[in-house]
Amino acid sequence: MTDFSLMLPPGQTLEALAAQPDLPPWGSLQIDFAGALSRALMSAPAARAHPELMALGYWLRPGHMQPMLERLRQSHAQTALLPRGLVFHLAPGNVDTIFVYSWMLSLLCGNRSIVRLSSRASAGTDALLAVLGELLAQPAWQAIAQCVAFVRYEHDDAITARLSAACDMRVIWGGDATVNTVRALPLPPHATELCFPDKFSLTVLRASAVGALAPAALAALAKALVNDAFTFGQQACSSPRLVLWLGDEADTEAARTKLWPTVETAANAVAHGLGDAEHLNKDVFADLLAMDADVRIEPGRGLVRRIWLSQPAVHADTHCGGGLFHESRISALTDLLPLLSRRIQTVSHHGFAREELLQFARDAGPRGIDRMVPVGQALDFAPVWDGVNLWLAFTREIDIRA
Amino acid sequence: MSDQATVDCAPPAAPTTAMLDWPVYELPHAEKRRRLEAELSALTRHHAAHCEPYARVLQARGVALDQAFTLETLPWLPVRLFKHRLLSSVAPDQVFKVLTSSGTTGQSPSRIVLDRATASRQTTALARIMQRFVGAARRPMLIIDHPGVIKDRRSFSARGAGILGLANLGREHVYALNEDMTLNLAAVQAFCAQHAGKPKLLFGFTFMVWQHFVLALQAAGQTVNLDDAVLIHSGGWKKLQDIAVDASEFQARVSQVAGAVRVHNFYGMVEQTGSVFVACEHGHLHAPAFADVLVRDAQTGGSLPFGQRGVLQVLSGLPTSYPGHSLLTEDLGTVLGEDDCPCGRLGRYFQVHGRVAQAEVRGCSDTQVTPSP
Repeated sequence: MTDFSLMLPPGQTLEALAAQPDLPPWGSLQIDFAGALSRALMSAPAARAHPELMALGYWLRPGHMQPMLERLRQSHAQTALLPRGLVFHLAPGNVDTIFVYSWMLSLLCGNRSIVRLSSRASAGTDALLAVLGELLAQPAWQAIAQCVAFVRYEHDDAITARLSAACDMRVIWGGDATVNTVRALPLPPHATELCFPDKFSLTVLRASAVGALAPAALAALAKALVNDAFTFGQQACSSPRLVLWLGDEADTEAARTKLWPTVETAANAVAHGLGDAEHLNKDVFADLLAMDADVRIEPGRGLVRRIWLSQPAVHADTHCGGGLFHESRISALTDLLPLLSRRIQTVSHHGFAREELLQFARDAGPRGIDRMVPVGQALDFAPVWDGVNLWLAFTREIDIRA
Repeated sequence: MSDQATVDCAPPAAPTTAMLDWPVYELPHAEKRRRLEAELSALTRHHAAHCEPYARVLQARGVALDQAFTLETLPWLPVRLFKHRLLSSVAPDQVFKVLTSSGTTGQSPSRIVLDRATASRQTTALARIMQRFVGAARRPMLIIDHPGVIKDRRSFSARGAGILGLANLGREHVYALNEDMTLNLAAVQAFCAQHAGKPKLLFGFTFMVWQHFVLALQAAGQTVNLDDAVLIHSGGWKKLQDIAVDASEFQARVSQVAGAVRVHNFYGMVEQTGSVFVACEHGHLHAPAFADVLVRDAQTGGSLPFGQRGVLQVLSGLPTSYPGHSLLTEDLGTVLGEDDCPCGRLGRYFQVHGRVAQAEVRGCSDTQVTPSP
């Protein structure tokens, strides 16, 4: 019988994990562990080569976790929140760090976890596992180690079914196909499930605001956009694939002419990891879109490849990532409405006041959009993800009346 | 779109078959360029007028159709488009057959639409090229495959099409393998005995020749006498490179088991059947008169000078039924020179280094491989 490979911690078994009691929700042990992991990540030489691991370390630091947990404790002071039990996380392959965010939130809530890592190894994941392995081997963190199993296996419904049958909650990160396949495998009747399917993200830039930027601010915006788009080869669900300019034609043309060369320069300055295969992919997907829609393939061929859409639209299936940007123009935020579906996740923005965005989100009735964040923060993980408050999703509440 | 395309250009002259009478390896580069650029420019306009998706692509790229294209400025399509779309420049009732590539596991196959005229030009071009290596007389032919691969003529796999294409060059065909890919030693020995001392033609796909002929003979402790034979093989070196077998090792091992056999590899693809690039005795792949090759930088798309490694672009004057006259492959290669190969053949000659390294697929749909339809 094929079985999973246990990555960490050594000697862990499914039986032991199932028999292990939960930890107290938001307990000090887990919070201390988050701090230790943060320090380990930020000082590990291997992690330094991966900006996303540094971002994870920064996110886990006590200065960030403590206030967040304090607010939670206060807002739930009169309720009894308990862990759900054993949580089975299926991690995606496109973003190396997601499995840690998912596991850590679950752990902080007191749950035990089985984490299935992507079967595709990556340098980022290897670096993470090395740091985690060292930490979980330390005596101080044995109670944490007893509450987790990191596993890896090739796609195998039998193994997924066995792990699903043992869990109280299942979390599926990674793609419509994965969600559909895993959903077909039963859970215990009481178990709950969270799914994070394919998403599409876009950027809205106010043309006049970009046009007015001084060189240093323009370079900062370009760098922020590059960070959002190129960190995971534009494969993260929150990486922008469509850039919409809000403004009139003249302002838009001026702003485009100004921004894109700066973005190209900024992209070339980062370790983007894109090679011939991605460049050839962009040719294929540009041509496929040209067959389907009225577009103009912009002549500049660099890391950044751009396609101007005569009509703003979401062409999610004709997009390969890797530095390909669909681009178009709108006159008002409400022009977004016809483009929105539940598939639209992050709208990163530049040149908008919070009130304006809030008013749009509340009053215009957008059918999609999970988050609106400034350009540069598209990849920042938050405990409210795709509209789900994970702090609450990873707990159960006992309704008490007296 | 079709209105626009016909306004942009006069009804394109139907490409002629005159090209097939061009001397295959004797056109000096200036003359070849002049002729080929005219043909390929006309083909570009022809396909723009008759294949709407192709015209849309050119329009999106802002390509002006009324220009005289050079080899370097001629628009190209990524070869992979034929895996995504059926691109045809002929009316449905003109379709003679649709070639499909065997395709890498998990990928959709390429589909190539042929009308009779294109299919016929492909056959003639292949014959013109191969005659330069095996002579004009049809030779007795040993096919290093099994007969089942061409039985179902409705599904023309690249493998079956390749065999049928080459089979035209031979006579008294014998298949060297059984249906289960084991060596039919008796058939091979009978072929050798019957045609001893006479010129013979062998054909097979590179890895099959290696695995099911060379290694099979060796494992059986047998040798056969195929002196005076020419072995034509194609189909990529990837699997052999993995086991560190290069062209000279391949030739040496063939000679060990089969005698004085002259080996010629060729580079070709189902998307440009017919105008193949055959390796000369110096191991250089040669562009025939009605085809050519360029190397481009994958990121900038710019054409690279001779001697630099990049992505191969292949040009062919043959296809009128589908817009495949200028294709950017996903193979890496280097053009070594033009008109100055020591073998004496004129035209560009080049090397193929293998496929572009596939990027790590980092889509959201990681945890499950989606089966392709």
